Amino acid sequence: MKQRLRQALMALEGIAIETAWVVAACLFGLVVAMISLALV
Amino acid sequence: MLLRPAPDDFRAIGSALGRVISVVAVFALLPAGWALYRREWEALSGIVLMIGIALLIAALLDRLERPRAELSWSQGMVVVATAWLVVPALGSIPLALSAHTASWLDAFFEAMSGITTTGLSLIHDLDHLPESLNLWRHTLQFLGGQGIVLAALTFFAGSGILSLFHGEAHDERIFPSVTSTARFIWRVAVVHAVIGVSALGLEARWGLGFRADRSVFHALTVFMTAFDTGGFAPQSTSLGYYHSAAFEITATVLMVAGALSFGLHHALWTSRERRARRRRLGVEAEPPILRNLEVRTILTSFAVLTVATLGGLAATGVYTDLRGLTRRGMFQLFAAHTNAGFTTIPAAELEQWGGMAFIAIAVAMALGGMASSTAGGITSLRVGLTMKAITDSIREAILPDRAVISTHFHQTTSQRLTPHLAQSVMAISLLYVGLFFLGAAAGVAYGHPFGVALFDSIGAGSNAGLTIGMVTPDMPIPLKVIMLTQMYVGRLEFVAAFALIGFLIAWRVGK
Repeated sequence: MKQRLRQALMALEGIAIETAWVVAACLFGLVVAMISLALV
Repeated sequence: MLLRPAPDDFRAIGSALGRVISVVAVFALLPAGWALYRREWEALSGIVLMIGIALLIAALLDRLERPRAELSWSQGMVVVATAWLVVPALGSIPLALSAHTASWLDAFFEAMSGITTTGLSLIHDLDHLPESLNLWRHTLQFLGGQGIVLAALTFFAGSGILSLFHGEAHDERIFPSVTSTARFIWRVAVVHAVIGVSALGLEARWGLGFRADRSVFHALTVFMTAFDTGGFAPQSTSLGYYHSAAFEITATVLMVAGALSFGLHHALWTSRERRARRRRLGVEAEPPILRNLEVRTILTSFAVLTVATLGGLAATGVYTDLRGLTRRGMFQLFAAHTNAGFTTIPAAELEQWGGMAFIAIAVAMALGGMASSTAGGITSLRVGLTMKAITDSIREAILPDRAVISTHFHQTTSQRLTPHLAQSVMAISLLYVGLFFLGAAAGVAYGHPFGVALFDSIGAGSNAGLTIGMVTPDMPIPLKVIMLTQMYVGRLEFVAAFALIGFLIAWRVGK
């Protein structure tokens, strides 16, 4: 049971990391968009 | 000299194929149950007919006497290649009987687009397609993204299954046993399903105000095609239908999860525990995931293509506000690079993008996600290895003769880029490029502008499924057949398809 709970927590952590990557990519996109709009 | 296949070869192939086909019947229970719930009797009859035919074929093939010898490498490849033809043929039955497809070929195209996780659609009036059939389209994509044969391997272990596993473009064994690896791949899907369907369902129910059952339907369908990077959507306007940033972000997380290799999922799920254990034992912590060649490649390509897409869009002036540019541009890039192929804008608007943004999206589709993921395309690992092989060659040419050039790369562990590996990686990459141009040439021959033809051809060959107008139900039959072939060959990454062709040639002319 304890092992399963630990596995579930690690899976959740994995999905949280994936979400963080997407958010980081979107923030990077936001910065690129700001620079692009400023340049044109 | 070519050897003609012996009766034992046919028995071995048929027997394994029967098991794979029975998986279709199991998965079709989901739309069948939904048809019962929604009282869609016509759709239900088509689905039940398909289940019956699948079970009948599986039962007949199961009666074949199974040879004692293990399934050989080439037999395994032939099983995979045949399964990826037979399953869409079966899957097309309820679609063909629905009157939402113009012909059997269109229904087969739809099922092939589904199973190969492409997402191109020839369905007429998708918004009025019975929900159960719509669910079946999405189930096909889910099954295809996970791997039809892999699904069978999860349930039926047996000898010689390694070739089946590799034939379906799963290059990486996470555990020593194929069955354990297959089960882990399903566990990743189930965990993402629980979280993804819950998140999408809650957004649909409380954010968009959908009815409870409608929320479940939309959450389930979008999850299946987002995580398995398919790109079918329950409505004709794809994810643009929801006008919801929260929905788009959730789908994006699922698309990214789908485009990550299952090996990376395993590393993400266990790295902390493993590091802690190694620290306790006094062993140096293992290298971080960011050292992986494939991770570095996809992050680099994503960063470069973000600049190209958003810079290009800003230059052409399609979106003049920050919100529109970021949201539309980033979502489309994610959808292309993960090979999901969703859109939040109409095809006509996508065509207007033009210039650098248009090229960046096409390149993103061609590159695709990671190897051994649910995504297709050339894949980041091949791109990374090709780049490494090229830079090694340049170094070799410009450095002194005595210079030692490291041919190692990091992919979970340190590995050597042997000339044989470099050659096979480059050959497959080149075949993909050829496949893209073959479809483009066919499109041009039928009067489409080169840009449109190449974009749609990449969409089919990379299994991304974005289209800007070439793929319509009134497309000429030869063009449909070419795109069908592109989807099929692209998903199987050539090898299994070539093995099937070789088997057929040996059958005809072998001695």
